[in-house]
Amino acid sequence: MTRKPLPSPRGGVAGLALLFCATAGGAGLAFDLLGDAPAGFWLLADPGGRAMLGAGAVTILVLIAHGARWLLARRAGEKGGRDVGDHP
Amino acid sequence: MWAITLNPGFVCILAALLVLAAPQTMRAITMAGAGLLALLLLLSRNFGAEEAIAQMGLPVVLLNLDALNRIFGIAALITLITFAIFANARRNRYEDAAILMMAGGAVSALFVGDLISFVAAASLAGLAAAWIVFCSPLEEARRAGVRLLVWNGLEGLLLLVGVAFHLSAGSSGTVFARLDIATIGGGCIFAALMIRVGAPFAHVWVKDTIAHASPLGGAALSAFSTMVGVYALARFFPAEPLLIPIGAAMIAVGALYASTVDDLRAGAAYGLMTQTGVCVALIGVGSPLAVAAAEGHIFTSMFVFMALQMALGAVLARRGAVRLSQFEGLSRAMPITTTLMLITGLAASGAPGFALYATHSVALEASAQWDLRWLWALIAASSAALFVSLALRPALAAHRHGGGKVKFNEAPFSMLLGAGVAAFFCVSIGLAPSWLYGLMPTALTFAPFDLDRLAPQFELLGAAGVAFVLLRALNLAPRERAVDLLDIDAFYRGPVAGAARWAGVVMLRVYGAAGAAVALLAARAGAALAAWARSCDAPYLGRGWAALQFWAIGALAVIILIGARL
Repeated sequence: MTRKPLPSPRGGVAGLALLFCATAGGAGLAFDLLGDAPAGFWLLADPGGRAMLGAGAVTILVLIAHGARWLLARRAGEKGGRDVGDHP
Repeated sequence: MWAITLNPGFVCILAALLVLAAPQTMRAITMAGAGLLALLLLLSRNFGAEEAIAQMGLPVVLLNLDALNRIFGIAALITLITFAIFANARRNRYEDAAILMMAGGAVSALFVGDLISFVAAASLAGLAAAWIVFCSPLEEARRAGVRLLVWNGLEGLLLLVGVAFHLSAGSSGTVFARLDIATIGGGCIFAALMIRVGAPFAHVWVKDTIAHASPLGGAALSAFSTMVGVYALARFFPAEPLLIPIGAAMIAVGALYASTVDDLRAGAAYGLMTQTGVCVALIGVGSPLAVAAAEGHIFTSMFVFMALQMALGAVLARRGAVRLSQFEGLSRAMPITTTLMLITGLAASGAPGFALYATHSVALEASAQWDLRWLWALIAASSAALFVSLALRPALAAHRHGGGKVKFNEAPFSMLLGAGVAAFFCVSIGLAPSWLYGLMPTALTFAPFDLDRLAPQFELLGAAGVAFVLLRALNLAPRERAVDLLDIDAFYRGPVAGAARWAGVVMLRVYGAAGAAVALLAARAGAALAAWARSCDAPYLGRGWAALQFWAIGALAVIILIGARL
C-alpha cells in the first residue's frame, strides 16, 4: 500500500515572520518602556508611541490599499488610455 | 601634487564615448576605471571654485567643489563602480554608454558653478536617462522612453526659461546663489526641479521609466535621476517652506503605491519617491541639521535603492517579470537573489544596522519639533510602510510554493556579485556611519545606535510587521493579484488624451469648414470683382452714358473753377 505524500507546508514563513517581528517589536517596546529615555516632544514620540504608530500606519495602509485596488486596479498588461507613442 | 582641475563628470562623459567603441571585455573595466579616476579627481581637490570663463558675457564656472556637492559626488561615483560589476552580466554597449553618459551628466551638474552649465549638464543626464530606457529589451520600453523625453523636454524648457528670466530680472550673473521662488525665473526653475525630483503629479515618470528599464538600467535610474534634483533644491531653495508639504505628499503617495502595486520594481521606485520626499521636506525645514540629514539621506537612498533594483533586476533577468503575484517558488529557484532582495528590502525600510537607518534617525531628530510633529510622524511611519511593502510582502510571496517541482535557476554570477557588493555597502554604511556623518556639510556627532533611538525603531518595525501578518492571516490584507494600479498618468494618457484628440478632430473640422467658407466667399467676391472690372473695361457701351459723363465732367470742372476763384 502506497501512502500519499503529505502536502507541502504552507504558512510556515508567515509564522516565522510573525515570530521575528514580535520578537523585534517586543524587545524594542521593552527597552523603550523600561529605559530611562526622557519623555518625547509629543504623544507618538513618548515610550511606546512608535508601536502605536507602526501598527496604526499599517492598518491605515491596508485600508487604503483595499480602496485603491477597488478604485484604481486594472488587470496586469491591460492597455489603458492612449499614449504619446500612439498616432491616429 | 595634482594640477588637473577637470570636472569629474567630464571623465565619465569621455568614457561613454570610449565605451561605444570598446570590445565587451573592456567595457566594464572602462566604466569602473572612469568612476575611479573621477573619484580620485574629486578627492584630490580642495574646496573652492575655478576661475569663471566668460562666454557671451556670462560667467561659466566648470568646477566648484564644496561640502554640499562632494557628498553627492562620492555617492554617485561609488555607485558607478558598482554598476560596472553588474554590467558584466550582459552585452549592451549602448546601455553601458548611456549609463556612463547619465552618470557623467549628473556628476557634472553637481560640480559646475553656474546656472547655464547646470542646465546643460542636467539636460544631458535627462537625455541619457531616456537613452537608457530605449536600450531596454522590455516590451513597452520605447513608449516609456518617449514619455520620459516629454518630461525631460518640459523640465529643460522650464529651466531655460527660468535662467533667462533670472538674467533679465537684473541678476548680476548666473553663478550659484539662493533663488527666490516668488520671481518668475525662480518659480520656473523650482517647477523644473519638482519634475526632476518626482513631486506629486510629476512623479509618474520615475516609476514608469524604472519599471520599463533593463535590470541595470533600473538601478542606474534609481541612483542618478532624482539625486540631481535634491542637490539642486538644497543649493537653490534651502529653507523654502513650500517644500515641506510637497515632500510630505511625496512620502504619502510613494508609501501608498509601494504597498499596493504588484510590480515590485515599480514598488521600489515608489519607495524611492518616499525617501526622496523625506529629503525634499527636510530641505524645506532648512535648519543646518535638517539639510545635513537630507544630504545624508539621499546618499544612503542611492545605495539602498541601487542594491534593491539590482536584486530585483536579477529576478527580472531570469523570470521576465518581477510581480509579487508570480513569486511562487522564487526562494527555491533563486535562493541567493531572494536573500539579497530581502536584505536590501530591509535596508530600504530603514531597519537598524542598514544604511538608511543611519540617516533616517538624523531625519527624525531634525524634524522633532512641535510644529512639525505631523511631518515627524509621516517620516517615522514611512519606515513601517516600506518595511511591509519592500521586505515583508516580497518575503511572504517568495516563500510561497504551490507544491510542484521548482527548477534551480539562479541569476548570473556578475549580477549576484554586483547586487552583493551593493548590499555590502548598505550594511557597511549602516554599521559604521560615522564616516558618512564626517562627509556632511554640518559637523555632526550623532549616535544612531543609542538605545533611545534603536529601541523605538525596532518597536515601530516589529509592530508594523505583526499588524500586517495578523491582518493577512485574518484575510483582511489585500492578496497578491496580477493587477496594475492607475496613477495620475492614466488621467492624462486616458481622458485628457481622448479630450485632446476629440478637440483636435473638432478643430480640424472647424478649420476645414472655415476654409471652405472663405473659399466660397472669395470665389463670389472674385466673380463680382471680375464683373465690375469687365464693366470698367467698356465704359461707353451705352449711348446715353457718354453724354451723361461729358456733362458730369464739365459740371465738375466748372465747380472747381468757381471754388478756386472764391
